[in-house]
Amino acid sequence: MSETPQQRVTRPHDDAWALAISLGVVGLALFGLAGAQPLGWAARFEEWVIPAKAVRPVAWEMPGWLSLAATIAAVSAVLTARLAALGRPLAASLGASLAVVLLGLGAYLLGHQACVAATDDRKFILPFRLGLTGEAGYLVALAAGLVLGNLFPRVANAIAPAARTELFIKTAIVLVGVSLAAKTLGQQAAASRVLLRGVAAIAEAYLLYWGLVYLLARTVFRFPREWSAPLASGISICGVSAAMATGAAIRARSGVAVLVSSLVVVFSTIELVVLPFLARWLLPDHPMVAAAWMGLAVKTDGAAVAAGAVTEALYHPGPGNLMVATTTLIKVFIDLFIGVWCFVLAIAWQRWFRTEPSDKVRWMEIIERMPLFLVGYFLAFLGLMFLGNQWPATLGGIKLVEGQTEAFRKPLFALAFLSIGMATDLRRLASPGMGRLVLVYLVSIFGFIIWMALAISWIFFHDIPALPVPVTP
Amino acid sequence: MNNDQRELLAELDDNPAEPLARGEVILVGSCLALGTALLVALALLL
Repeated sequence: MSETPQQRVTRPHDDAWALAISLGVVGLALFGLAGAQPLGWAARFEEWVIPAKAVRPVAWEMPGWLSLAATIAAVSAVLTARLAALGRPLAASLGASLAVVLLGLGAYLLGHQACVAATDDRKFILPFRLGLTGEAGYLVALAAGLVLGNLFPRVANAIAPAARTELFIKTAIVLVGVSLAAKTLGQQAAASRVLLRGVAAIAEAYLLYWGLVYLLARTVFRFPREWSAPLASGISICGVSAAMATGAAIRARSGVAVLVSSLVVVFSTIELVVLPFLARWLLPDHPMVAAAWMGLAVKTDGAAVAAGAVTEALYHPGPGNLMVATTTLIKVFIDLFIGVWCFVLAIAWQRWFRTEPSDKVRWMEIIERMPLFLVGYFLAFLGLMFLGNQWPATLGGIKLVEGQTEAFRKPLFALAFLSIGMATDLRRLASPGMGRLVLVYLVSIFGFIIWMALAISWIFFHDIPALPVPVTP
Repeated sequence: MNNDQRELLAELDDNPAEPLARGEVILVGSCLALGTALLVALALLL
């Protein structure tokens, strides 16, 4: 297996853009510390019966429709700028970006219709009520993406350059860092507990999943090493990024990781649709176990954090809850380990399995493989925690910062759901030669990974409340 | 799916995999042993 240019460690383009966009939003929102809200025009989506009341601005005095138009224009402009910077024609970039934003936000808005979203009988007079909260909009966006990607592939291909799951979800994850800090400030015990349990949960899950999936792929399904390692990482750790990084670390041919990744996307969508409802049914009284379960079981950052959002909607434990923050935190810690694990695999492969002489494995590869957006997440989270702890008078300002960033986080999730749906090519499952890959994935995920993840989540999160308990002096 | 990917899948069907090597047994064994030990230790500690 000789090294190809694709196998060198390269940082995905979306990673840098996600960091830049999210830090830009957080930077502007930080004016909230001084009482100003430069992003106060951003749209906040509300449950509605009359469409005119579906949107209102975060803070500014302006009509809802204008706030929505401003949000659509701002998000489309950023997406267009990214595509233009990549050298795509401006008009096509603008068209694709606008289409993705309109579809994503339109679906999110539909999900806020009171019959679907309302959880309170007193607020509206309705013929029926599903009570799914506004986050049902994510599922509407996912369905729209699936229909578009599988039934109208030409349209989907035309707008696909603007539908970047990784970009949307990584940007949103940095904003979750702001939200986690705002929710746990003044309640350090709750924050430390979630952090500590999160690290504890992934430490062994990582090792157990990987070992078992690798063993299964090699012994029962008779895959060669070149396939088994990316499969084990993709199925057990964190989907696409882990499969790609592992492929590069063991110098597998690039097509191997690409094929594994295409399966990861399809199955993570299935998990995203099934697991939140299964969690609600199996664990009606343990929202934090359910939230941790999504982080440990659903592959890819996008689908996992999205599953966390749907799970939160199904439990709706109230404002200020730690559910999405917990799912995100677990996923973030898993991402942190990808670089370390690939370093271990690179050394193992060099020592035991590589027949040809090759480059030495470098320590820097750990840093190079670490997703850049994690810097933004920890910067936002730890920075605000430090600020709030050192100067408690800033707590009110931090809430204003959160109000502004949340206005972007939720629509970004909706765009991520749309993109996940568009990228889920269900026909891939029926492609010739994919049978054995599909089977190893099915057996691993539904045979033991989700159940082990459930057990580990239960062990570490069954006694943590979804709403942090205020500490009384 | 492009031709390279089709060839990779065809090769997968045609070529039987080699048996587990000593290095793989060490790697997988270490993962499972360390993972189990960590699970028990952390569950008791936390």
